[in-house]
Amino acid sequence: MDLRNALLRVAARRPHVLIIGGIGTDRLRARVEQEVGRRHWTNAMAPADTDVLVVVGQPGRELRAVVDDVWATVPAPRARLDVRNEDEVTTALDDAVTVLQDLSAQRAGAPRDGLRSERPSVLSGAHDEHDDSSHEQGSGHEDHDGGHHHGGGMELPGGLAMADLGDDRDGLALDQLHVPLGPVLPEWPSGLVVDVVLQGDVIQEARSRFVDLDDLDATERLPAAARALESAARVLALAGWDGPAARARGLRDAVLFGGGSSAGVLEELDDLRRRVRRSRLLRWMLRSAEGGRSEVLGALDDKLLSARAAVAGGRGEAPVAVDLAALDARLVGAEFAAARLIVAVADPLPQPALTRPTDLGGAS
Amino acid sequence: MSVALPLGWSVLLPVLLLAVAWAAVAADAVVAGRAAGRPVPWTVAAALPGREALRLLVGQRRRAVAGDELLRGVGGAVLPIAALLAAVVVPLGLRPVADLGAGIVWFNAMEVFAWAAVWLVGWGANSTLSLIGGYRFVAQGLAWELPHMFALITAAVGAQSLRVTDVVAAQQDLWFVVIMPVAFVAFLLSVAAMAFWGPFGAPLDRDIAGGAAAELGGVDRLVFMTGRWLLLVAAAAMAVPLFLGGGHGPWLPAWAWVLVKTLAVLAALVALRHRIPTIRMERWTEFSLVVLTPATIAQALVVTLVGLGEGGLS
Amino acid sequence: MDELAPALVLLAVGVLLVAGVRALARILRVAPPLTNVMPHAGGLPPLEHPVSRFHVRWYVVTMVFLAFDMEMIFMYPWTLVVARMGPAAVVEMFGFLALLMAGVLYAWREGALRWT
Repeated sequence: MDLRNALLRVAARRPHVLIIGGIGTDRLRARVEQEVGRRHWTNAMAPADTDVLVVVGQPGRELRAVVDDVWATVPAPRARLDVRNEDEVTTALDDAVTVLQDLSAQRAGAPRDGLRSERPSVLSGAHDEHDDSSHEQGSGHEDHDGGHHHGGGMELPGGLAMADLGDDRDGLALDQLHVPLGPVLPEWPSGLVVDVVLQGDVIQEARSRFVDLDDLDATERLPAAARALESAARVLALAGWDGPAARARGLRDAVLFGGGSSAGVLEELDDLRRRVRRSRLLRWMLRSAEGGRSEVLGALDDKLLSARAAVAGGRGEAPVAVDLAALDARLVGAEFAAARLIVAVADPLPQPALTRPTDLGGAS
Repeated sequence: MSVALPLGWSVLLPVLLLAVAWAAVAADAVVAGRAAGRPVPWTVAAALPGREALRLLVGQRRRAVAGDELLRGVGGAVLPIAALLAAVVVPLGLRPVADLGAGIVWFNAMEVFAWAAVWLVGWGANSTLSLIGGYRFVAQGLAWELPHMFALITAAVGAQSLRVTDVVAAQQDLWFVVIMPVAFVAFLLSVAAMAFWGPFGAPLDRDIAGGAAAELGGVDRLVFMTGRWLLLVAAAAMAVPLFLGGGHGPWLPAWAWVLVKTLAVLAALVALRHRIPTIRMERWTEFSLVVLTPATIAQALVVTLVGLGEGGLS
Repeated sequence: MDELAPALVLLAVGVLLVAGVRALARILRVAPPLTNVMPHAGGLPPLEHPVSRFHVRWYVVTMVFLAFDMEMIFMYPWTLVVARMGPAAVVEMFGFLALLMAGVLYAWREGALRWT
């Protein structure tokens, strides 16, 4: 027992952190990310690798259910924190370590059965709505076999159906998976969910929406420079270029929370932009399949350029609102890695006036 | 004639590989910190591998809904074991743990086990993102395996033997990297690719939230990740007898040269890793088959002709 | 067979190591395994079991690979005899490889090696 206590104390000192936040929490999330980086902790990519779950801001109804579901799949030792404002960040993370090191509490609080603890919340409220809408969406395109047959009446584990057949783009009959992507994914816009139909790793249909759009009144947006840098950092991280991605995040933090002169920021921004433009490998990997000019790379450069303009004192161009319908259209036919880049580049803004009619069309 | 080390070295070999892997993980953390503009103190980096291992040892395991636990467990275990077995033919100095007559083929066979291992782990989790990661690695294997095999064969042709100790002996005067640079570069790239590491890390990348390893928790994750680093170390160590003269070198004893050269190969890989983005197979395959494969074949042809010419003269 | 003995011992050592680490974790872990975990794709529950017939869009590459892989089986022993057999063996092997490469180039021209 003593040995285990000692081991836990050592192991918990450098936890992996998963941050979840709804729309309008980007600033707070950035603050947590900055603090995590300062402590040389690691950002977790998925619940399995998570020690500390940080919920930033005040999640709305649907996101709360998502957080509960995710929490049910985080293995012990684990700690869950709510961070409501920036002053709490340091103490909250300090507390997390204490929680992780408490062996008896960890033993008592460890999850046992993912289904038993998780199902009630899954079947309640917001999720039902969501499930219904994606079912309708799926069956609307599968008229030849009348939607899903939920395992032929047999009870399948976890209450999940088996994938059904559908024609792919080459005319082969292959399984179609209906997967809601997000809102808890690395390098993913806060609060975004894209319901996709996947064949293998190719997206056949996509419909994106924001969770808890009703809470939009409370939304605070990042300043233009920080927003552009955050988006650029996501693109770089998804391209697997961790160093420059972290540097873009560092610049974002400098813009948001001060630290570093404006001249220093500009200099480093220029340096980053030069590196991105010079990387032939990046150009090769990001260019479109047709071999033309890379849209992703062009957009990345634009983001860095607009961030520079905003930092230099000019009024940064107002972020171009990306229509969710346009995003959906661009995702169709994209391979998974490409789709992730498309989402990161689009960086859609939650805008009720634009998205609500299409979003509620299927659910109501 | 067999020059294998005493049998006890079979027990020591895992310890040696783990020690080198520890150093590689720590060095990787230091270089990553520098690339990110947030330097990691070397004390933090040196403790990092142990801390992470402890964290996973005390951590809870996870079983997926309707997941294939058997296949996932087998896949996870195969990875480190295949890495150990691949390293059995690497001379630690001038003598390997096992001096197999077809050592190069053995190495090739062992390292290909990783294909099955990663795919099984990705499949067993019953998760969309893991499955994508598993298939990504199979595609990756198809892309790098051909240049890799031609690189191996080129070294074998140079020594006219498949025995790794013969390959080392043939480099007493001249390292093979000098006469077969293309094969060496192809081999170095495939070292990272076979360990699905660094620029070839797409099967475990961020865009699929950890991919094949996304659902692994606790000791399952520890075994899998350790296996990956062991594979990297074993493959990097294999570059030494194949291309870098093995234990040959002035002043130092043979074992020290092997260690120094292995660390140098790993350092080069770590440095390279943080300079470039992820290499996606849907772009790389074309290059690998249309440029790299013919280049390594041409390299094999040149080495064969040079060998024949020398044989004819003597 | 003597040659293989160390490899077999190492196989046993490897199996024991993995089993040992797993046993150690069984003692040290804070809680027994978490069962019935829902797969993670972003926090929302999936609608179907993700194990499915995967669209392997690079299947043509597997065919090309298979052709080369069979060739490798001949090329490994070939390295041992090429010096003795002389130029004839070189011409045969690299002639064969040239044929395979022609196949690769054909597949490439048909666009089989790219899949996005």
